[in-house]
Amino acid sequence: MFHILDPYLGPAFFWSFALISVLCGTGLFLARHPINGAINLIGVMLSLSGIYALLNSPFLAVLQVLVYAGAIMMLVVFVIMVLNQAKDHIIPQFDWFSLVALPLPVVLGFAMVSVLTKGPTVVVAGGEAGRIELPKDASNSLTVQFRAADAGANAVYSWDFGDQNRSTGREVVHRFAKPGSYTATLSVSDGTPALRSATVTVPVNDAVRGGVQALANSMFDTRRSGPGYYLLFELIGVLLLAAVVGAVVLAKRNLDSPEPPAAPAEGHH
Amino acid sequence: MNGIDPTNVQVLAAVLFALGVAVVLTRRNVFLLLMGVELMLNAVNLSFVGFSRELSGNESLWGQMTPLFIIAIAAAEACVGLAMVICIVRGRDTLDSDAFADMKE
Repeated sequence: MFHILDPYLGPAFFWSFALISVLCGTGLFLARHPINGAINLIGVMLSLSGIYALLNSPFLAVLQVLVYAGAIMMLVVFVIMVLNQAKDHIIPQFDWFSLVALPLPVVLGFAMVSVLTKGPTVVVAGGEAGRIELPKDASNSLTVQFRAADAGANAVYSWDFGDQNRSTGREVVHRFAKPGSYTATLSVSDGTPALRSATVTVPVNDAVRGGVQALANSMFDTRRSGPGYYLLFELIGVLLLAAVVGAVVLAKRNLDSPEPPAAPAEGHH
Repeated sequence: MNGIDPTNVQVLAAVLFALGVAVVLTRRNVFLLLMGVELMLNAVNLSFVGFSRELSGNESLWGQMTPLFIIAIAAAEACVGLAMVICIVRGRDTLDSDAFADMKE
């Protein structure tokens, strides 16, 4: 989808979208009037949609614009304008609880990321010599770069890519002919009879993966992916219907017999 | 495809989630509370998409199904939530969520 952009412009686009989304998020945090906050939130959602497109999920990107930035935020803006007295007299207000609770998600996020995003490396018993380092992007392109750990000056590295192609050298670049899952084998010999080897499974896939067809296949093809998604889909439909009916009932309830005015607001700062 | 570091995606998701928590905890306007929740949901979606890119083949679709359903549920939540806001605000003439504290009694 974005073949023109790789590999240099992708990160640039990602960073600009990330900057926009964080700035707009801060704008939402500091907004005086909720309508300003809503505009800022739309900015966050649009830039997130750009990031989804960069992350190989075009269908989610379109859905983000249609449903989130379009439908949901339109509803929010509409209701803000209906109840047009919404100026917030309390600009962000910190207490000890929020000062503790704010850094917590960031710290948890960093911890989770450091646990979960380790690259696919294979270490062979007997030393570092047979280690293959796969780049994290290996699964997103037909061209994969393999690198072996250093095994001394006179080591000989030979690769078997799993598609009947072989190569030698410490760093090799191989282009697979078609997508699939390949088992690459690295054999290292440094002159002594002992030959060390390591294998790694390389997922090779250059398709745009979050397309409509792929998502629809895994949702509606119940023979392959089980009935779970399909049932969930129907359940969501029922939920949305119930939400619409509930919202109409709630919002129309007081039209005929207006409630007596409530007690004056307590707890104002 | 394009060399975006998946760690950066997760860090961005964590930052956006923290901003959403900040909005919910420190603002008192009902609309801003709802929008803070939406921001948190968006951050979680981004995290799912970022992780789904690291999986291969069919597994990567699992991580894209969940945001799909989260978006649908967020639509339902916004719908009902805003109807409740209209319903409550109509009788009280204020949008300060502290003023609704007597609902727990």
